[in-house]
Amino acid sequence: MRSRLLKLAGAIIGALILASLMHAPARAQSWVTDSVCPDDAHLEFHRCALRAARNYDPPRTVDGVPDMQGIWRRRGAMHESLQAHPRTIDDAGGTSGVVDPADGFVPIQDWAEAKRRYNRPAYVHHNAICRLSGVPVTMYMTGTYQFMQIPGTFFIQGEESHAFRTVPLDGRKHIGEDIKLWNGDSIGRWEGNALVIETRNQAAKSWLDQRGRFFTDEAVVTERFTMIDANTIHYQATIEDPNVFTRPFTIATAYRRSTVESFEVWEEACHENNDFAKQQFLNVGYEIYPGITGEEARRLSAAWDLEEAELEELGR
Amino acid sequence: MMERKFRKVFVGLAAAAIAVFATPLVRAHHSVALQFDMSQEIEIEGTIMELEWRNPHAWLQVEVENEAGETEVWRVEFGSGNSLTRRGWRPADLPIGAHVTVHGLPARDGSNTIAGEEVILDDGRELFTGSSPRE
Repeated sequence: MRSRLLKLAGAIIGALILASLMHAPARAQSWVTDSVCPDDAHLEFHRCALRAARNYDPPRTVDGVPDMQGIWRRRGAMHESLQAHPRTIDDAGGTSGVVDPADGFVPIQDWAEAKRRYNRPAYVHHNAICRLSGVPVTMYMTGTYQFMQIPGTFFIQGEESHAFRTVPLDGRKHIGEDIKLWNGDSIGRWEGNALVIETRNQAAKSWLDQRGRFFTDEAVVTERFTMIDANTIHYQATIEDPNVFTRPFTIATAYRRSTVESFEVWEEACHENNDFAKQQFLNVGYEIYPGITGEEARRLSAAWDLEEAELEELGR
Repeated sequence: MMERKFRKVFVGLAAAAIAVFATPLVRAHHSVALQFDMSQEIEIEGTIMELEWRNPHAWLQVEVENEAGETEVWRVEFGSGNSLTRRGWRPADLPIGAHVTVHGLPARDGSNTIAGEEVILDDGRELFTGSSPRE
């Protein structure tokens, strides 16, 4: 028995080492690393990309706009935390995705930070129960995306619960403000070589990251996609939601072109609610995040301010 | 006594190896730690009853004989069917009735559920699972 256990332990350790070694080269080879801005650290990449974009003339589609079609891999781990976070057994870790403000911290209001800290241990992460992530999260939740273009429309496909985006570029107006959608209503336009997509009308029942950072159904998200060389896209998203944040803030990351020419984006029909796993979360005390409207946020904010005023009066 | 001691050594070594080498295999798009105890490693051995090859997670049901000689059904959670396919797995690798040894993380709710990390088949093949191969 002793010999069998030792053999088994040795085999497992050996296999894990092998798996780790096999994993690393696969990661290194699956996207283009030759870039004018090779650094994946978000702020360094962002600063470099802003400069590089000025000097790059991208390939064009038949209608003369930048041709961003292909398979792209997002870099970084903003889905874990928008802010800098350590590598742990449960996290890949990384530098802050927040590039404005430059200190790398999300400019969250005090009451909202208290709610964020409550959210994380209280609610199941939206991805675990097959909810769509909303915008911009859907652009950094999964790792690989396919961009496709026809005149007047930009398509984005990923492998997260049917999270494809069809973005009209025809200047139409947003849908009525009472209509709320899981991924919101996205309308795009070209500004020079940048694809700009504005998203409103989100249901706001998802988080910006695994740390419970949230937004309301009144948030406005403006994304900018800019090619800085043949194989790199500079992605930025500015989140405006005065209900939750003290000011608009911007995150940025790199998309690198996939080197796997045969790669296909596959349907990922997320099983309704991921029900069995969901029950395990519920069994240990987690609840389903109910989302938050702008009106609810303002009520919570006012209650917080009232408490703060009382404490100030008491000299605390 | 000796057997118990070596089982602890085995579990310790395996857990240490996982912590050092295998962390990329268990990261996911939502926290694993909320659902499973990442500080422990357990092993089950039994016969495949059912394979659910699907997204967002595939599941294996294994019939296990416990220490009291009773039969229990354990559920093993894998990454998505898509990710398993990209890792080279095929449903035919895990036929009903096959004998398997599974290593993984125990569920926090105490149910007979494992976040599967490795499946060893009787013919010696070792199949690695994974929650986030799309990184």
